[in-house]
Amino acid sequence: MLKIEHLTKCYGEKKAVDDLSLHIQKGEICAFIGHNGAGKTTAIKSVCGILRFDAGEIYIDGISVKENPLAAKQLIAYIPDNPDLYDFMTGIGYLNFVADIFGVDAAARNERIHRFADMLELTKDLAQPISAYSHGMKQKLAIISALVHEPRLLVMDEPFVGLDPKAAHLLKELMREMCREGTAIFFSTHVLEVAEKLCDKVAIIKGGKLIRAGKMEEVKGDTSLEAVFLELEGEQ
Amino acid sequence: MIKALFKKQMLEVFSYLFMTNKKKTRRTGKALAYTLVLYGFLFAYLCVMLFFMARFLCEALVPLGLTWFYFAIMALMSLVMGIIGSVFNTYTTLYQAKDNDTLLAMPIPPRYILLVRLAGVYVSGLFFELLVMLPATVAWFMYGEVTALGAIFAVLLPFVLSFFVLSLSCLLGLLVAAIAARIRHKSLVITLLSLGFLALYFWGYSKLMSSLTDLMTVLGDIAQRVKGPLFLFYHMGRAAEGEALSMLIFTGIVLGIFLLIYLLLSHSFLTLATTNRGAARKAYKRERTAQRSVGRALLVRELKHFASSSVYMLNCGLGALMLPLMGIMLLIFKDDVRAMLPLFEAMLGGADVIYLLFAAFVCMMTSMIDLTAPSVSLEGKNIWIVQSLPVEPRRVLYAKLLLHLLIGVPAALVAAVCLLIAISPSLPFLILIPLAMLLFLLFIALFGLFMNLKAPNLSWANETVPVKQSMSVTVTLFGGWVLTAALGALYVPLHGHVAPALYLALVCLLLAGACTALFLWIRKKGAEIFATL
Repeated sequence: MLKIEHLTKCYGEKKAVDDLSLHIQKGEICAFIGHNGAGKTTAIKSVCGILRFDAGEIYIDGISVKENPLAAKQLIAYIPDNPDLYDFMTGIGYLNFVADIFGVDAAARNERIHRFADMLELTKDLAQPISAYSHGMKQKLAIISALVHEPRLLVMDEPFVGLDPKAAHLLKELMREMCREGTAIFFSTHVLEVAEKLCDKVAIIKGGKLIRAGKMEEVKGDTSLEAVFLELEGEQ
Repeated sequence: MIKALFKKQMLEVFSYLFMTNKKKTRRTGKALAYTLVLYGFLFAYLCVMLFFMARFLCEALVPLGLTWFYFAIMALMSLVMGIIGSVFNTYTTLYQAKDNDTLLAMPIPPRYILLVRLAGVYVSGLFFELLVMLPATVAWFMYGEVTALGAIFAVLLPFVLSFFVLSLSCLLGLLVAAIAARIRHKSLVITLLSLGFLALYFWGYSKLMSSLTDLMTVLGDIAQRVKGPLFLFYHMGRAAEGEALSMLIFTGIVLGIFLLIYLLLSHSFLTLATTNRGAARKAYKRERTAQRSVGRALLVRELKHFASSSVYMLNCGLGALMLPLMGIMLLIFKDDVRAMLPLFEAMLGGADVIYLLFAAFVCMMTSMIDLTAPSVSLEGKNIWIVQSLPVEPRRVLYAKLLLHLLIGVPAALVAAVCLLIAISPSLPFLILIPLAMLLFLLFIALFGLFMNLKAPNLSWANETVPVKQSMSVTVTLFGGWVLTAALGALYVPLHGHVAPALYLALVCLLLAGACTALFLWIRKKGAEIFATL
């Protein structure tokens, strides 16, 4: 579903992502871990077509992000690390805006919005302006907006930040359910325990380079993901 | 601490001059020089225009011993400019800055935060106030009877006067904040209050100006009559004449008022800056929502943004209100206007030349609608949303253009119809004036978007920065004025050789060509820039 081939993205002289290759199949959950400034967000934004990259290719279900960004974006949903949403809209206004852009028909969007809003306990706040939302509420709204068009690939940058424990638990359940239905999920996180329990795959990035990637069991072996990560971080 | 805060505020106020808009790095020497020259040119252009009026008043009043009255008139004009320049952003700057929470969480007394925010409003007001006071002072130096002490005071007076602008702006800001804390539709109320205040001010100002009509016949009497109400400005004028006591009185009163306002504001600042009480909670009703097309969804998004921001509405959409108002005024006074037409025709040496002037004037008014000029910057940190959605960047830009036209075209048409009824021009102008107006409106929409794509600013603390303190808005607004003036001036050497109607038709053709070029640029290059911001 997601095929990243030799992705390189530079900011001036600095290579933020350096020759990164990674494949994620349908129904797989892949955690993307690395220290602050390792290049996770740059790679994620490149996958979503927000950032243009200097070399390499990214395919979403065989569609090139570089050559056909609109068709690729139609299959993706992206949740950023800091959900800056339109303060001038209400929650329901924002969800309808996203649904309109994805061309989701009225019946389908109403059903999905209410299903996910009920699940994340945001329904009663949907008529409020987003400016009145807390960080966690904005995060929940961003999650609902990401699910409203039933994406084939869900890309998230630190999705658990700001969520209350119940919402975090529900999000994990949602992720598992989406995987069962064939959606691929690629997300960055610093919570290694969550990655270890939730993910089929893990990719570790350091200084823009992918230093380890593979099935979770293969990467961590008999130890914990935390131990592997710290060991890799310690290596030059 | 206070020094660091001032530095931060001034960096914010002047960031559009010294920082690149896209990456927020310091401008290189060359780029900085270009920017300073551009702003300097615009400032100088407006100052020169106002200098001629100042010179006229100075030459008329000073020989009659009414220097104080000259300064009073110029001070009132500069107050209008200063208040227009700062009143619309006072509330936002003082109470809605995005770094309010960050600063309040630091060990900084709230009154210090307020003080530095006020410094921002002061500078903003001073800039606009100087547009009048600088030419007024220069005219006074050239044509007045200047003493050494008077010269020093005349230089200092605009800076003191700006505290009065600040105080008036703050009073309105306080009123708006007090009401906004208790209501849901803040933007609408702020907009209406600001417009009401402005209307009140203009009413008072027009009353004064109507007194001035009689000025030439009963100068001394008028001056004596208004000396009482204009007590403050009487002393300002006397100070410019070198009266130290008047300088002390003027400075004392202005700074005293400011101090009172500051104490009043500091008393309520914390509450108002952190309050959102009283707004009724709207219950959500499950309703089936109809699906919109992508274009319509994007347009509605722009419309909602516009309607939610009083700063945006007042600063970039005011022209949409002024144009129909101007049209209605023309209709009301159409007999007077028609009576004056032959006089102007005789003066300009041609029957149709006056229609060219009307066309230039309404085009100038049209450039007061500049909704597209900050529209890219206003995406701010939310730009990731449209960049990550499956929508072509050019469609996002088209929605911005459409909003501009949606707001501007009805206003322009009303103004055009009223103008045509009022002046009853010849047939070619019946078609050409509205055409020129609509083409100019489209040109400003495209030019504003072009400028904002060239100089976007996505990292701002409050919307005032992209709306009021950005290069794109300044260049678009004043560029429109400069262009109309230039097109008008271009006709002078052609007068007698080219018929006014033909000239206006050529201008329309030129505008259509410029619009086409700008549209094609926005469609391709502009869309590419937007996608990579």
